This record gives sequence, C-alpha cells and structure tokens, in this order.
Amino acid sequence: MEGLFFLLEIFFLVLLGYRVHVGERSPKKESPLGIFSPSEIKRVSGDLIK
Amino acid sequence: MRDLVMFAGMLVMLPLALTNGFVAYLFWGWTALFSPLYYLYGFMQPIRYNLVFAIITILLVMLGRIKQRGQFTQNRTSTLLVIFFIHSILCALLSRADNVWNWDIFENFAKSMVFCLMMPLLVTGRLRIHAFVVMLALGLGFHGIVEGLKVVVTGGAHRVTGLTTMMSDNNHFAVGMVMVMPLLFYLYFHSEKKLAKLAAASTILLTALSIMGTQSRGGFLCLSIVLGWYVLTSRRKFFSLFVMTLVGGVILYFAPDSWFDRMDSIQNADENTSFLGRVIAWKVSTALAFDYPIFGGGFHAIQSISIWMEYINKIDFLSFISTPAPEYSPRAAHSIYFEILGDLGFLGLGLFIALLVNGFNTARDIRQLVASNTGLIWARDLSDGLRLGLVAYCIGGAAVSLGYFELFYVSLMFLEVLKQFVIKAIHDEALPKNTELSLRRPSLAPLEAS
Repeated sequence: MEGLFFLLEIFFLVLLGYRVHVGERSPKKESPLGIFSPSEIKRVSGDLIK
Repeated sequence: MRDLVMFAGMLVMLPLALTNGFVAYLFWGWTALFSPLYYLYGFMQPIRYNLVFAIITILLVMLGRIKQRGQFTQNRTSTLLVIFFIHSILCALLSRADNVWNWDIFENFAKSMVFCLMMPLLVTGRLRIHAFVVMLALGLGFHGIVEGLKVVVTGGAHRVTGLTTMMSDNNHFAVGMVMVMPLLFYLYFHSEKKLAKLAAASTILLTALSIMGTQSRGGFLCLSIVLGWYVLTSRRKFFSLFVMTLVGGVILYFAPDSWFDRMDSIQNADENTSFLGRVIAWKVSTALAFDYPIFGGGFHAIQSISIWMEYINKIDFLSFISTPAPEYSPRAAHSIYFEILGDLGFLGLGLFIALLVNGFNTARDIRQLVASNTGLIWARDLSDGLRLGLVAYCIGGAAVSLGYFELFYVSLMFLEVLKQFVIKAIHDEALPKNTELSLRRPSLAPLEAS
C-alpha cells in the first residue's frame, strides 16, 4: 500500500512540476487533472498575461 | 520497486528543474518535507535529493535564469528572519564545546532558512503561490494519508511513531499534521475539479486519523483547538461545523480503548510522569539560559549528556515549581519556547516570539487589505489557513521540541510573500473593480512601509 501511494506521490509531484512549467509557457491551457480549477486557470492566465 | 519509481521520477524532475527555476524550488521544498530517503531502501537511497534541487535552484538564481523573478525586499518579516538567522549562526559558533548536537541541528535549520529567504525571488504570481500550497500539501499530506490508511486497515490499532528527521516522534508528527490541515481546507475550497476536492477532503480525514493514531495528547488538544478556531473564524460556519463533526465522528469510530485511556490522563497532567519530566527539561533549559543569556548553549544543548548532568544540579532556584528528582539521562527540551531559550538564549527567544507575533500581524494585514475584495478572497483564505497553522504551532509546540520546524519558518515567509502579492495586485489594478478599493487606498501606505 505504501508503495502504491509512493508511486502516486511521485506522479502528482511530477505532474505539478509539469503543469507549472507548461502553465507558465502557455497559460491558457486547461489543467489535465484538476490540480488547478478552470476558474483559477483564468485568473492565473490573467496574472501571467499581464 | 520504489527506487525504480524514484529513478523514473528523477528522469522527469531533473530536466523540469533545470529548465524552470521555480519548479526546482518546488522540488527542493518537497524533498525537505517529504524526506524521500525515509521511503527508499535501494540504489536511490544514498542520493541527497534536497541538496541536488537546492544547488540547481541557487545556480539558476545566480545565473539570472529565473523567469518572472521577484525581488528580495526589506520588510518586517525578512528583517526579523535575517536577524534571527544571524543570531542563530552566532549561537552555533559560540556554542558550548561539549554540545555534540550543535552542528547537525544547525545545518538543517540553515537549509530551512536559506529556502525561506529565497522565497520572495521565486514565489511570484497566483500560479506559483497555488503551486507552492500544493507542494506543501503533497510533501506533508502524504505522511497523513499513509499513516491514516494504516489506522483504518488495522481498525485503529496502528500506532503512528515519528517519520522524518524533523517529525521524529509521535508528538512532533501530530503537530506537523495539524499544521498542514488548514492548507488542505484551502485546497478543498479553491479547487473546482471534483477529483482535487475529493483528494483534499480524503487527506483531511486520513490526516485526522493519523493524528489520532499517534495517541499524542498534545496533538489531540491542538487538533481540537484548531478545529474549534476554524469553526469560529471560518466564513463557512455550517460547513466547518460539519467538517468538525465528521472528523470527531471518524476519530471516535476508530479510536481504540487505549486512546481514550490516554486522553483521560490529560486531566491528571500534574501527576503524570511524562509531563513532569518535561517540566524538569524546561527547568534545565531555563537554568542554561541564565548562564548564557545572549547566545544560549547552542542547538539542542541540553541533549548533550555533560550539559544535562551539569544543569540538573543548577535548577534549585526554580524549586517553587515542584518536580520529582530529575533523571540522569538527557532529555529534549519538549517545548519550542524552552528549546529556543536554552539553545539561543533570552535574545533568541525574544526574536522567536517577535517572529511569531509578526506572522499573526502579517495575516491580519492581508485580511485588512483584502477585506471584501472578491478577486482576492483566495489570498484571505490562504492567509487564514497559514495563520491557523501558526496557532497550531504555538499550542502544539508548547510541549514538543519543534523550534526549528521548516513549516513554521516557511509559513512566516509565505505570509509575507502573499502580503506583497496582494499589495502589488491592488496597486496594479489587476483585479476586477467590483470593490470599494479606492476607499481603502489610503490605508495601504503604512502597511507597505512595514
């Protein structure tokens, strides 16, 4: 069980890093797994575009 | 198998970190909170992940390869943190020669401080602030999930002990988990995707169970007070009351008889051997501070046997607080306040308390700045969550040696970063003009100055 959650932990961490990286390069993209909500992405995009 | 997972993860994490300094910073923070070494047993175990990501981040900052780089500005928090750090360096240098723990503890503390002091350069913008919260929840929430699940599958019998180097016993673990819970509440409310909400809600429940599994009386008290505070101060009173009831119900359902017996003993603290042992440790820390009032005895001084043996014979001036005969083996300080007092002297304790008070003041400033500005309501919720974490630290830390806990210093600097973001956002008029911002404008000047 611990191993499975370790796998998930690494997966979500990598996903977080990837989302931040991609989000900063192309802020209009939607989050694939809902780490950031669509409304938040809009706000985030607003910040970045500005 | 885990080593292969970590290896595969590193194959992606390293290029991401090298191309984006903020991602490297996130991974640096995660390695400090998660302690991957604790879960690895094979060929990936000897790697110092924390050091790897710290070096990458610092190099990218020094080479000017950080996009959207922020500025290190002088303000109350940064000034206090820098003074506290300089004082702690002096304390380590002037530590008693027989303090065997000094440099080990200082090294970990120094890493945390460098991490905190770099935060204004890297945590800029809404996306990064949110990602930083997710990182904190991932790094600490994992321990709550795994230990909480163990409590569930054993029907409440699993006893949670310490995990990482910082949360090294059940009491430390309990306080650390209570501190992360308000951030999970924040993530629950500010994620619209059901999967993210479900993940945050499940982590809250499992983390509460993991706190129960520690059988820590201090942890339980801390959890009760934090949940009560949350209900009183939350904008969503009905929901928070529902959460409190649910958490209480789940704990009562899984709690074994031994847990109830242990919690009952809270009422007899003045007769409890464990508690009285702590009072002796507090006396020893105080006696040490009277001998070294400015620079203390150095990091974790009273845990060195020679210092402990010397100072248990010097606590007579505190005999108005009655305690049994002291043990002849060194103990930890068992309180953040007495830990800092013994280690860093009265001056260090004064700075530490100033940092704490400043943390609450910064959260109050954010509330005042945001007020009813709906565009920044997330910042108010986040500052409330961080403030609740500080409450947990003040209460839970009164009986545990967590004076150098990373999350405390990270929370302080994170509050300041959030405040600077809010001030900038209001000034830049980057937000919807649906508030009476213009009316509040005059009050911004003193806050900025601070």
